[in-house]
Amino acid sequence: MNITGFVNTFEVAIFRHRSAVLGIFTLLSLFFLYQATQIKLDAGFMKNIPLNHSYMQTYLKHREDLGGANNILVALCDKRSDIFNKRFFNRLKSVHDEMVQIPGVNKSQVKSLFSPGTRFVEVVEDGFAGGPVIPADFKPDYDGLSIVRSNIEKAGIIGRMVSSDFKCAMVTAQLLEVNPTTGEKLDTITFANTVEQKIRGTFEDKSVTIHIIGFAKMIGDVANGAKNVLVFFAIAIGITALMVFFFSRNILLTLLPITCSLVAVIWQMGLLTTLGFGIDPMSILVPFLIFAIGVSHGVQMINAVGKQVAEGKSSKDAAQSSFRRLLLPGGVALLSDTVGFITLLAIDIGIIRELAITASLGVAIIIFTNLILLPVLMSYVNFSQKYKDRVSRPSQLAEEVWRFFALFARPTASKVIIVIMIVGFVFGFIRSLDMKIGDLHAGAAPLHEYSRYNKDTFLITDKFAITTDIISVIAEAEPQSCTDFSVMTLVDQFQWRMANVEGVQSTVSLASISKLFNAAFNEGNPKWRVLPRNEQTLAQATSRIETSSGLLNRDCSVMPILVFLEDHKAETIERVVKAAKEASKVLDSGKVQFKLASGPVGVMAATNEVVSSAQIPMMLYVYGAVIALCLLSFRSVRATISVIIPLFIVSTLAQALMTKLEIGLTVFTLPVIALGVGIGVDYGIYILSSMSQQIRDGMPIPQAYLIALRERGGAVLFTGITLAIGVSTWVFSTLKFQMDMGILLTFMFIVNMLGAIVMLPAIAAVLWPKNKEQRR
Amino acid sequence: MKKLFVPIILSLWSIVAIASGDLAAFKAKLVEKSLLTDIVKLPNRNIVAVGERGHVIVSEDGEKWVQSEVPVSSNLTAVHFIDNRRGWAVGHHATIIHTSDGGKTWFRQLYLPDLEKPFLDVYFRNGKEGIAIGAYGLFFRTEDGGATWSEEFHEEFLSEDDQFYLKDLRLDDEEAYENERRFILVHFNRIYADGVTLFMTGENGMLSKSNDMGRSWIKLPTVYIGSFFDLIRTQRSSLLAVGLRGTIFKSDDHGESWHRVNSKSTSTINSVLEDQFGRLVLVGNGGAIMVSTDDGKTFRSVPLDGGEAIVNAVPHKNKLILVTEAGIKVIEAGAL
Repeated sequence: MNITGFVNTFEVAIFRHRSAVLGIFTLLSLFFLYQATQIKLDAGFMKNIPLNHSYMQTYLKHREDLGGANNILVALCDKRSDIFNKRFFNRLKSVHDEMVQIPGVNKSQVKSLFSPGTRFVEVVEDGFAGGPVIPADFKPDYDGLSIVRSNIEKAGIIGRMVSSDFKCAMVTAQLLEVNPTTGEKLDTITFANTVEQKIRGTFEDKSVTIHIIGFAKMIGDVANGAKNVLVFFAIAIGITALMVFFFSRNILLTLLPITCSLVAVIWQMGLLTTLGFGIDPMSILVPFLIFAIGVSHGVQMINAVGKQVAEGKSSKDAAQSSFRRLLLPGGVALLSDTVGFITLLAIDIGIIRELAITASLGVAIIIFTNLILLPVLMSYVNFSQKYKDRVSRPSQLAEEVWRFFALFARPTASKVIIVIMIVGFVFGFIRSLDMKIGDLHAGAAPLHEYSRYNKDTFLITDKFAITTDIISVIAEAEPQSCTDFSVMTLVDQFQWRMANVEGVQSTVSLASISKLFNAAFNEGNPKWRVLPRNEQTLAQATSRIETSSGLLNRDCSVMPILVFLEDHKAETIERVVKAAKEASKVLDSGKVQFKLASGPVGVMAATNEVVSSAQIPMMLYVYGAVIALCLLSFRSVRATISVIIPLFIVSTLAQALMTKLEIGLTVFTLPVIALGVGIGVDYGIYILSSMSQQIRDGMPIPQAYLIALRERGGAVLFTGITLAIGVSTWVFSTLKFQMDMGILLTFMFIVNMLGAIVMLPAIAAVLWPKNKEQRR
Repeated sequence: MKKLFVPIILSLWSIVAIASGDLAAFKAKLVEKSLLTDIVKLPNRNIVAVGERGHVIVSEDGEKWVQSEVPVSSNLTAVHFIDNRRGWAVGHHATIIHTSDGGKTWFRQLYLPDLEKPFLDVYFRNGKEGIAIGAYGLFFRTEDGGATWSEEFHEEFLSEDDQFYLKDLRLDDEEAYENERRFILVHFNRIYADGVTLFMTGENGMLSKSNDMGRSWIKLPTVYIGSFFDLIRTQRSSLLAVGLRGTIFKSDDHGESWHRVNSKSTSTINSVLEDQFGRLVLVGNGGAIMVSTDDGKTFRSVPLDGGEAIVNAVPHKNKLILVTEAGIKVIEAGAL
């Protein structure tokens, strides 16, 4: 059976059993609506990292031993004076005690001035003296606080637990990914909200400010920001409805496509719950996209039905014939959207895969709701004579616009356009080469620089000698390597090489701390700041360092070298990773290997590498799929070229735009290119499918194009604008990544539409010169 | 006084050292900011500083520094020059290196990592005669500019009890005697040349002097149980010894009797020097800088911002150039 035969059979089957079709849709919608109400926000650390990357394998291997990248830092700052007052110390103790109680916190890894492991050591004539920084009999009075102050100075914790200006103190905690007693996974968002309420909510006031950072907190803030998306959603629906009304001048015809698109969103959300997924804050924008895509295809449908009704067909006949006419181009367009999304599965990062699944499900659903449900619903509509009159009377303005657009297919104009395209492409291509991978700005990338979270990040990195931009390289050796001078020396040399890399702020490892201890054992004399060659002496120095420092594991076979960076810009990360790889090439030996990487920047490095290596395959897949679908539906290489070239130019320009706006290629922006291509191809498919028969018949391109514009031009223009409006509201999002995605998608939708209207006819005119000659 | 000579054949040790795979110092941009332990000013006003990982840096103006070619990566602890060209630096793994081009390139004269002892100071009277001292009584001498070095054991620093104990042990068990002897002496921290007289400071309040280039030592009275790290002859001919936990002792009778000077500090003092204004300047851990304008009777504390441990310093023009745990630091001498 050929495709036309199939469409016909399908059409007959559906329109003979309209009420049954409606019944099934209603039942399914009710079911999915119920499921959709059960949907949960679902965020996790693991989903954000490329688990199969070699760096992350190293990270996962040692996570148990060394504690991971999932920490939370709480800084308390006294607004009025320094921290040495009763009120502040009581507050600090309360925060410390509360942190221990919060579910998800590793109780033994909560550290502050009040944790028992916080001790000072000093050298005296007959050896060492030391004790807890806050003595057991501590009272927050003048004498007690003076003792604590001098102990803090001796303990060498300024910059870590106390800020260098003595105005802030820090409580740090490590999180458990899995609750050891219940086996439950950490619910990051609940945790973040608990911290917000129980710590900031309870303990912040006029005198003491509280600043919280850490991956979990960031996700919590992202989730809260993502909730605001509902507002944008409502706005987008409102504007879109107005647009549809403006287009159709009919309330019922406005409600139908909007309703069908909302049904698609409901199905999509319901299906996610049914399949056991939650919705990630990172992919909460997908419903927008589904809605906008649904509306744009719905408009094509009401456009087609309206035009046929005006020609005198009955509603049912018009709906039925529109169904037949649009099922193929609409189906191909939606299928290419789906494929565009599915290509994202090639990227081995959990949240991108979720996005791929969520979005491709949603688009596939639109095939049902807007290509089947919508025409069936429309077949019931009674069109008034007034409506028919208005639609059948061609608008003078539209006709003028279409005639103007048709000029693009004229021989001279088309050549000019093609020259401009080439120039634009070359310019865009050169700029696109400068596109950066990864985050280009300080602070947490998903959030704006002015967000509370990033302000807290800046405050903490400013006041403390702490940066969240840490990459740790892990030295793997035989057990008991702490006492092996040759291993420790290699670790030390590795660390020194890393310390000298541009962009590295400081470094620390078991070796560097051991040297400090060895000097301490020798009266604090800096001349003794060495790794002792003698095994017992080396053991004496290293044994003072506890595993809780994260600088060694229990049997001392794993020793990370922590490298603190000035920022997490892609080029900094690349430089440091390259230096680490070079150093390990020189220093790796039978006794010790240096493995990348852990720490937040280790995760970023792996993610950047995955994103950057996924970029080209993803483009190949998405273009491959789109080209295949075009070839299949047009059966013409020239038609396919006419559709694909504008798309390619636009995605190159989008990359140039990213360079210009300093938007890096990240987990969030990488999908945009695939989405933009997948959705952008729709315009070309609608226009060209309307022209293809005429072209085959030998009609000159400008004429064929004019006919296509009359039939679908309005819908295409409208579609581009609708999609653009739907995503442009994201620009106002509290989340930086949504803003970036919004800008890029708006650009891609609008410019792809222009590509289909301006570039496509120009290319077609050049590719079918014979049609042109005939006209003469 | 009895001395024990242990001659060493240099070439043999060199082979061992090469086999042990010690790397040449890695050239690094942070070298000026890494731990530095000693600094000297040559007659031509060039400045040479040494530090961890075999770092040696040379400056002609006290601002720009150039890292030298050094064949070892052991931490260096002290440097000494006799003129504009010839100098020696010593350090951990019993390393001694030599330069004859003002510090630009260095050659290894001694490297004995298996001794497990560091040198802590070096002194040359001229181009031929020199001594290097260090931990656990480490003491090496050369008579030929360092072509050959021989070890000395300065038994005179042992108490009478310890001397008897060693003698007995030697009769019973030669091996135990050798082991015991390796670590029985105190650390020798610093040599100060006062004309032909050498003063040596060390652990357990050790102060001593020698008039025969260190072949024999006269112990000065023990007035303190902690370590002394440096000593100086003041303009008015007093002696000032400085050390652990802010300890300062002063002697106005050439070391016969000593009295404590209150430093009002518990920071260990690593070095003492006379600055360009003739003042005494002490530098030490925790960024300690103390200045005396009354020949060491009283001191005023003017700590370094940032509190890095200062190991030594030299005056340069109107500045003091400090070597610290965080590398070179320069301060205005007039501001002290």
